[in-house]
Amino acid sequence: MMEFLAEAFALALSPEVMLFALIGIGVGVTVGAIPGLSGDMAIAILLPFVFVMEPAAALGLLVGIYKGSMFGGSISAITFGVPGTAGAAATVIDGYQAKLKGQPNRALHTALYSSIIGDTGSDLVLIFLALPLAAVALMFGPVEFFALYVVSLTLVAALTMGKVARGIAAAALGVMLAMIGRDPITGAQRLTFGLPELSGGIGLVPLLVGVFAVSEIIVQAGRAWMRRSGREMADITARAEALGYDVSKDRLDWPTFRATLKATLLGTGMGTFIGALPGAGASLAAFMSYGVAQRLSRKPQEFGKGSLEGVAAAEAGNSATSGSTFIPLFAFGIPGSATAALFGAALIMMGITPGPTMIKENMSLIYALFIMLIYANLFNFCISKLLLPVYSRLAMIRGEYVLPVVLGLAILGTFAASNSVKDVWVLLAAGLLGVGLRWFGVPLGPLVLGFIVGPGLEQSLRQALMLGRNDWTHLVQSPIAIGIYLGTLAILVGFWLLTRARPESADGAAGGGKGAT
Amino acid sequence: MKLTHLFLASTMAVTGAAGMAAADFPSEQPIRLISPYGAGGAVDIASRILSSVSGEYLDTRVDVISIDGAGGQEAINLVRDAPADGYTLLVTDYGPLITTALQEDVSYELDEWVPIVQITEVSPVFFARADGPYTDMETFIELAQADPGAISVAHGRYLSVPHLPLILLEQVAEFETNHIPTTGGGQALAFVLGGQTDAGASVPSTIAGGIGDGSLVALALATAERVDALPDTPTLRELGYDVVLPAWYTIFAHRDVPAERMAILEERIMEALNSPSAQALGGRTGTDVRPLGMEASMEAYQTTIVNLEAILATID
Amino acid sequence: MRRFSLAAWRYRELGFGVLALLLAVIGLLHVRYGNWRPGPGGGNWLVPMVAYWVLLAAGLSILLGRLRAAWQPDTERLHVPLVAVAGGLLWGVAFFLAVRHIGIAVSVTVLVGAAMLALSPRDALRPGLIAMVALAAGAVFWLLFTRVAPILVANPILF
Repeated sequence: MMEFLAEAFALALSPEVMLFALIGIGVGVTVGAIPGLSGDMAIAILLPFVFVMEPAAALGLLVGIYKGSMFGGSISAITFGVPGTAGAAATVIDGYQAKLKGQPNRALHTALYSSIIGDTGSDLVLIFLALPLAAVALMFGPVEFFALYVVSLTLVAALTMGKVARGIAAAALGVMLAMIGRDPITGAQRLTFGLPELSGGIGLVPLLVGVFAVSEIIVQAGRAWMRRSGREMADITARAEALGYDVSKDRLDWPTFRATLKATLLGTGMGTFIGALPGAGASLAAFMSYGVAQRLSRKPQEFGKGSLEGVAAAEAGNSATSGSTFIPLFAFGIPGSATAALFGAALIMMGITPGPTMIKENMSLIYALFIMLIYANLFNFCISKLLLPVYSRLAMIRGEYVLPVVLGLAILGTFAASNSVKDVWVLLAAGLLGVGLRWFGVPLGPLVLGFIVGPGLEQSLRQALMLGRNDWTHLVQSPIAIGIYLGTLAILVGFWLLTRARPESADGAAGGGKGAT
Repeated sequence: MKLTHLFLASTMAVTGAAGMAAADFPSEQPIRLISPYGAGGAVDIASRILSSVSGEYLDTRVDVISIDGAGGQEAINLVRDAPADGYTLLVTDYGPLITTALQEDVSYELDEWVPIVQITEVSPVFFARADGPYTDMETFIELAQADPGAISVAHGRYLSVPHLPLILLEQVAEFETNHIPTTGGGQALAFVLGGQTDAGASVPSTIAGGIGDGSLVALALATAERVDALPDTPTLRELGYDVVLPAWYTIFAHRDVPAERMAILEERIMEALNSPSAQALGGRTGTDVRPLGMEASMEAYQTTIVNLEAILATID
Repeated sequence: MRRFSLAAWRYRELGFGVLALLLAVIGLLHVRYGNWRPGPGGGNWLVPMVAYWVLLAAGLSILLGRLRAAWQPDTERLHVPLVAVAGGLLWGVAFFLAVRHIGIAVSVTVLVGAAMLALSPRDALRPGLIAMVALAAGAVFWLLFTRVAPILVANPILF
């Protein structure tokens, strides 16, 4: 054991491997921050090099890209309201609002710290608790997954306070959009309106970027257009611009940071667990932790209005999937996410079969990978910390310079992700949909979550019905599923009682509500 | 300075390519190998073996491009619409190309595609948990006959490479199971290991880890002969059931590509895949790289079409 | 400057409620009378049908105002001029077509520059700065999408 560890440290800490990890993080942060491009895409492009590179160096590069892109996604989410990656969709909700309040630096730092904490926690779980957690994850079949999807939709649809009905409608709309194309069980076409282009369904990237980013760009362009002819009153950003943005006045101080810690830890736990479930994914983890963090927060009414807790919960949630997503891969050879599938392919290309015998047979390389996972977080922290002030200033550049560039990036990035012309039209159409929903005051988060979990929801429901031979009671015969439903019910009821008990205190001092419990 | 240099280089490359004679095929530009599956899958890995040795044997780069939209139809259409110059090729198994075409309207006819080289043959395999009651195919079939529909089998996507042999086997051996479609081999594996379903159908690479540590047992293969990856697993034919439905990963060109270019591609790609470095990469990745030329892969292509037509006719 | 009063917001919400109801009813009719291929596990119309019912319920509850007590009327008003919606979308279409048929570097420089000019305040127009930013954007886009993450482009006229 000891000699393996020594060998692993020698491998992981060799200058070449560390250099590649650094390069990877640089590449990752960049592609993650560009809407449409993702770490997965960069990893896919670099896969062929795995054949010719040293295994440890190749793993260092891929780990770096993965971690960098995970955080990079939140940069564009906060600075421009564009989710750079699907996992950052929940970050947009509060991160972008915080930027509009003139606090991009605070939001970015919160995102960075919670990302790193979530990621590191998840890596430690992977290293020390992979096998027990993997065993639990395997107990999640269709019935349990269905429960998880239903609960996540319920939590998030009821998220925007005072807009519950609109949130639920938005979630249903999202699920419906996800139904377009082929059904996940038999592959039959449906709801394609006779268009062959729609037979493959609507892509996640164009929908996500369109609904959040294109619509925001159009709204902002509208403001700039009106300001141009002097008809629009100065809004918050404009005022910040007029005064000049000062990073030094937008520091994240310790008490503010400490207030977000609970959300970060919640997100870390939630994300680590959901990440270990094959097929659940980073965006589900982010939305779930966001929803639960709001329910358990002292200031739930600030969520959606630039709450740093919201940023922390979402970012810790999505980053905490990054270690645990490897658990099913390492324990059973089951790639639980697109990223895990790519790492699985890379390992296969190195002649390593992912699965239960992998760790035993490749002790030093796998432990080297574990060490890399940890120090890559440190690298990620240092590089991003250096870059954040730059990004914060970037966030405050005047709209007229930023908007065309970001829209152009969104269009070409979306196209580059799939090489599909249709995706660009979907992107623009989704932008129009986003503008319409904003005009109606409909929250966009539930729509996007509905779209993300729609296919999984349908698949698990129908698989469960098939396994139970069309008996609907099969859905509530699993103790785990019952536990999930009851737990959520408890959270919702508790939250409801709490907000009833202190209708006004929520606006007052944070400690005011304590007596009510 | 560097930027101008890059600009110049690119314009030169463009004008240069147009001016060159056809005799330089295939060295004028990179070959694009379009795959209808996402990056990281088995088709992708097999294609990348070719791509990594291409410089030496094809005098050009081979770029593998994954386009998994519209159930693979976007990739196929892209190859079909590209100039028929032999620089844009399709690499796929039979699912998106044949099964989809037999099931619904597609933009192409099956005889529009000419197989250039079959990279490898893939064997559908049935498997179950080693600690369960189904440790061999005979017991499995007996138990399934005893209680029709009670045994559940997770099989990857609907009508995919492992699903069709299951349908055929049920017809030949006269039994019935509860088919559970999944997102692919990974989920099928998870369902079997987690006890959600009783058995699974996939390909050997999916279950390699579980077979290695003894938690899974492979019941039978749907190929003509046993495979190296699972030497102890019998074929269904050995067991007396005539179910031979292997899949293949094959590189196709559109039939409008000039015949001499196809011949050049066949020769070069065969040479590349037979090279020691490609064989070594195949061994490392568990891909049984055994290239077949145009004639043999055309035969495999047509046999598959006939077999699939027969099976699909029975289920609709 | 038109102000949106509370009543106007309620009006928008009711409009959304009507839209949701309409969509749900059309969807449910489609589920009932449409041509769906039969499939196992409840059929492929099962989840769409559930989504329509949920939409129907949400639409009704908006219309009936059952949740009105819990509503906190939104104070922010969203005013999007139609010219921005049409302009933004048209710009996107033009941009994409130009990139595909004319070339990345030229289209980005010209169209990004044009958009910057259009959006700049009239009294603070800085053509020199805009030209520089547009040129830089063209160069960066060109590098990014032809060298780093190449996109398949039908033979462009320029580059």
